[in-house]
Amino acid sequence: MTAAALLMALLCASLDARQRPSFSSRTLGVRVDVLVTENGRPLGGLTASDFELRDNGVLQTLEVVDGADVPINAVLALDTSVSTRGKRQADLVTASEALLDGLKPVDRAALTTFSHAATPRATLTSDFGSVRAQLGGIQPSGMTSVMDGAYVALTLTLAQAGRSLVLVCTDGSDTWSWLRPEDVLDSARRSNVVIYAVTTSDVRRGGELKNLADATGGQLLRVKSSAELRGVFQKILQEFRNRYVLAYSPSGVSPGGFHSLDIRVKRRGASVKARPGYTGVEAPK
Amino acid sequence: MMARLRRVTAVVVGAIVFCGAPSARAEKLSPASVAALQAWVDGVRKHQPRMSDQWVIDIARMSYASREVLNPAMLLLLKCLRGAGPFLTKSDEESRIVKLAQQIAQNPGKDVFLRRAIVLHTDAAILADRVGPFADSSLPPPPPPSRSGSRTVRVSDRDALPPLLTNNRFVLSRDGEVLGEVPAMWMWPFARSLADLLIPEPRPTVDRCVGAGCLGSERGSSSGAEANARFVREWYHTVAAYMLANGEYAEAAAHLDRATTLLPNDAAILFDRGCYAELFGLPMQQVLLDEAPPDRARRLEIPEAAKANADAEHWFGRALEADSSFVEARVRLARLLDVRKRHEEALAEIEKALAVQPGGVVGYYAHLFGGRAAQAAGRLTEARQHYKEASALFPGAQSARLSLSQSALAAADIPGAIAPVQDLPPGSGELSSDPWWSYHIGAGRDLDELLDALWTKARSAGTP
Repeated sequence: MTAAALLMALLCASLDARQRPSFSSRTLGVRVDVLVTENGRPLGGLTASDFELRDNGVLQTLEVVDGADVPINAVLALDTSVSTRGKRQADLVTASEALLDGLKPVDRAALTTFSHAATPRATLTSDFGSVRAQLGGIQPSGMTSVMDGAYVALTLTLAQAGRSLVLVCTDGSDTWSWLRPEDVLDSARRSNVVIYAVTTSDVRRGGELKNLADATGGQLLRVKSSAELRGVFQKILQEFRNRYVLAYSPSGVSPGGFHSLDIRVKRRGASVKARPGYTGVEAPK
Repeated sequence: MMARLRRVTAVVVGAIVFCGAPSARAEKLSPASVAALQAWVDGVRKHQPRMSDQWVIDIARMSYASREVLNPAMLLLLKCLRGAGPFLTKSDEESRIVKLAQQIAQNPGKDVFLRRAIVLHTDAAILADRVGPFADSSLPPPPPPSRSGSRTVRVSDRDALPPLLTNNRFVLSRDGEVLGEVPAMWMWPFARSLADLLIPEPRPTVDRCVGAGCLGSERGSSSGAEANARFVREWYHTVAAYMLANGEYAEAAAHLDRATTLLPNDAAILFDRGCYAELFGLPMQQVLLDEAPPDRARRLEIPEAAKANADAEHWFGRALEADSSFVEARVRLARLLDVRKRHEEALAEIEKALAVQPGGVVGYYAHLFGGRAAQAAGRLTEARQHYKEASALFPGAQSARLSLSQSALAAADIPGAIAPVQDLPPGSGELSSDPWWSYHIGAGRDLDELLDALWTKARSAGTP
């Protein structure tokens, strides 16, 4: 697959998954969203020759696309439990609107909220006004099901063209989810989504969201006050745009099971953030 | 039922024993104490079960100071009702109380009176929030620190206090967030102390009874002792259901400890005790250990999840020993086995449970947990079948749909992963729409039925 072909694949992937038969990640190859920074700032202008990727220790032949050229699917997964009432909710809506403002017309946005119930309020759409309208109708109540909400957001990105970002924002710990963190982690490893999590909670141990973010090449960000959310959401979107998309058809490795990824950039001082691995699928027999 | 649940969701989820109360001041038997007792007896006689009448309001608003005044007369009255004298009175006050006890024994009779008193205090605890906010300015100061300086131990011996003067304080939490402290409902330990008077050792055995159906059907041939035991058993079960449904977990601890002591072979009580243990292994309680400041976290009486689950497994096992046909106990046991990675054992229990084709909520749980255990055991097709059957029972429930989707994704079936989530019903948040959302309340699901039965029975027992 050439870089041009990869770009086309990213742009034109299935529009309606219900019309498609089941497929495995192997048939489409593997995609990895990669953030490269130098001195804390995104490093641009890299090509395939600058990267080295090993899948289960086996060097792979890569195609690379600048993420800025690929439309973004931005899925907001927002905590609307009772504790977010008042200023937290207002700040959350303001931050979400700021993220929507940062999207391009070719991008799409979706909105999922979660209390004890996860509610997909808007599926991926370029009609950002409809997402804004949904944001305005949020009435916080109930308990907190972070994992269920994150999972529903993740499913909105399945079989979608473009690069997918899920932004999970919560002010507390998961108290009510049915899905266990390991379930959602497993699902995330089977998808191409990048999950960023933002929490206003001072949770000492709450590592589930961090695990999820780390497993997808995203990041967990803690803020002290909900007033910081606006800036953080904007920063996440900007960072996501500055990523590269690496793609390859695995060779020399068996397709199934967990594949560890080792990605390096041949530039001194450059650091790489990407998912540490993925779960592959056996080809149909 | 759901009206109560909604209230709980918005207000309180957990309350955990935090600290005890100081020793009571020793009030003397005085004319005021006797007058307070007379008013209390009148209230017991006149209260209409289920009604927020004046007698309920009086009890609900009773301050610590007024309970201190009442206490010496109450202790003497209860002593008389136990048949333990005094028969040689030393004062006019004592004489009046002995006479009062004699009147009670004649009409309506000791047992009926005690049952009415229990119902009055139950109603005061349950209906207190309808009475309106009440600030007890006479609350005693916080207890002194323990001698060792450690704050990890309970600072007073609750059992040493007269039940009327129980004055524990509990930690109040909501959705994993500690909100503060609240005074305990003194009515519960006091009502338990009255229940103790109804079933002296050795206690007659009572048939197992699950749900509300048995409450209004006391057997005509039952002896007085059996009727008392049946009432106490039903009362303990109903109140446990109330406490679990309303997040009064700290109070439920003492309540269920006493219940299992009094009724060690009662399957419903053992089941309630299992549900109580089980909820502490759920994230809704475990997060408090993460969220609370370290000093407070040590004081919360929340066990680690593994210990809570092992404890719950023990109690559900005992419930099944008492009644092997107790399907929900078996289903919950299966969930715990699965949590502890004993997937095949869990599946065996689920198979037994499903053999009787349970429907409704219990059937949903059986398929939901069966699906999860089968998925963990690598049987994806079986898992998905369980999830589909659960969804058929509760089409609006998210939990089965999420698992159906997640198991499809695990099998690389992307359309199968998308479909169950794509048309998730709008999140009304009604707890009744997904049985998982009310899993933690156990018998609290039947609360309305149980309370109705308790009240109906109390009224039919001759309350004016």
